[in-house]
Amino acid sequence: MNLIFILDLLLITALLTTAWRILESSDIFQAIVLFISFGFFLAMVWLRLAAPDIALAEAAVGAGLTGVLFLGTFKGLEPQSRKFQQTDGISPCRLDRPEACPTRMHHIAALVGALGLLVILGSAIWDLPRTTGGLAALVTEALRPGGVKHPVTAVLLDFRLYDTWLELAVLILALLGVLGAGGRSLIRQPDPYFAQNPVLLWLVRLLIPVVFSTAVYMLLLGDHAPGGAFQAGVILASGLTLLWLSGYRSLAALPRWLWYALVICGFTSIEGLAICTSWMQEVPVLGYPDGLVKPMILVLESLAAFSIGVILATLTVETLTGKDTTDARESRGGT
Amino acid sequence: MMVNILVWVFCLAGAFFFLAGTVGLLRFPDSLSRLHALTKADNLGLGCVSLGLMFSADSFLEAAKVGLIWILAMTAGSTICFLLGQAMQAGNRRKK
Repeated sequence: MNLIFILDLLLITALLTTAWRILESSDIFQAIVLFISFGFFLAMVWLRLAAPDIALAEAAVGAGLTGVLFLGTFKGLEPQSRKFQQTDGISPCRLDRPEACPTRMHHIAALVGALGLLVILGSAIWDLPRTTGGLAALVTEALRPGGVKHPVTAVLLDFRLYDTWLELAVLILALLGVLGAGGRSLIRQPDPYFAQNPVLLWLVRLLIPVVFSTAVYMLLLGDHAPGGAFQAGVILASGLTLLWLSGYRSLAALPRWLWYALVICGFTSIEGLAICTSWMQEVPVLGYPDGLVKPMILVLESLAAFSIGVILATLTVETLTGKDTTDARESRGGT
Repeated sequence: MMVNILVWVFCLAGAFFFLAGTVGLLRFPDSLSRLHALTKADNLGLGCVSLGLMFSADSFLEAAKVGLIWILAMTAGSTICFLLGQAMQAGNRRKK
């Protein structure tokens, strides 16, 4: 039994304990904080499984961004619905109204469903070919000489560009959904969150150049090491959100057409590639012409990173201000 | 050998400060003293651990990265501590 085994045991225990505590907690705020720490433990588990790409994505999106979105939603909830209703003191009921609480039939149905899923997943795992290494060898073999050297980036932007393209579409749809739920037809920048504070301003002036240069570094790193558009985009989004939180106008300083252009540029550039390549005979659809693999990947990745950063920052700002700007402002007397 | 001892000493000292900070966070009576315990863990604990890791780094660049992380975490931590303290004071004033 060595030290790293003890660390693994501690990580697994922490992961299972936080997961159980999230389900058990009767306070939504506590559950959100636990969910964020669950995300960080999960990121460390991915790191121990030698998957730094997934660990980065989990820490940035799973713990960081989802946590902020949850906190923003929490802020918009009615105060009386924040605590889960206690039914009979045995198990807290997770829904607002007592008549919507699960009965014994629901529990049995959930148990049957969970067992069915377990059987299906178990048989799927049983059917997996008993090889080690998975598709890694296949991907390494297929890496083109003029292309990127990191297999994950190659999969995301060369072999499976279609998936990345639709992921960008999902982000745009999420932004549309948040705007629609808020009853808005335009992106707009609400008032800064906090009054300007000299200490915070000092920190922001120190951090913003570091944040933006880290985003560029992450983007370029994707060529040969864990990194790339999603990580760079999340860092960019955190920088933009930090600017807004500390009282700057952030994205609202841009003209609106540029803002919209940044939101869709990642999706439309890949769409442009799809249209161009469907006219060309010698290149497969959504493929790259020989010799242009690396520059084209870099261009598409940079545009995707801009899109991801701007969409996520807008999402965060819209969620954090959600109700405050419409209802609360009216109740404050239209100030 | 000498370097190894330094790595161990600094990392253990850092772990001690983290432990003390956590105990303080759990046991201290009010928010301001809890914040005090937490920032001790952040500054001294992380400082000692990163100093120890800088000794064990393979190259200068690696050590510089660890040092940069420490400086960033320290500035961010103390600023957040200041903001939290200010928010607490504002809350206390509102209660009176």
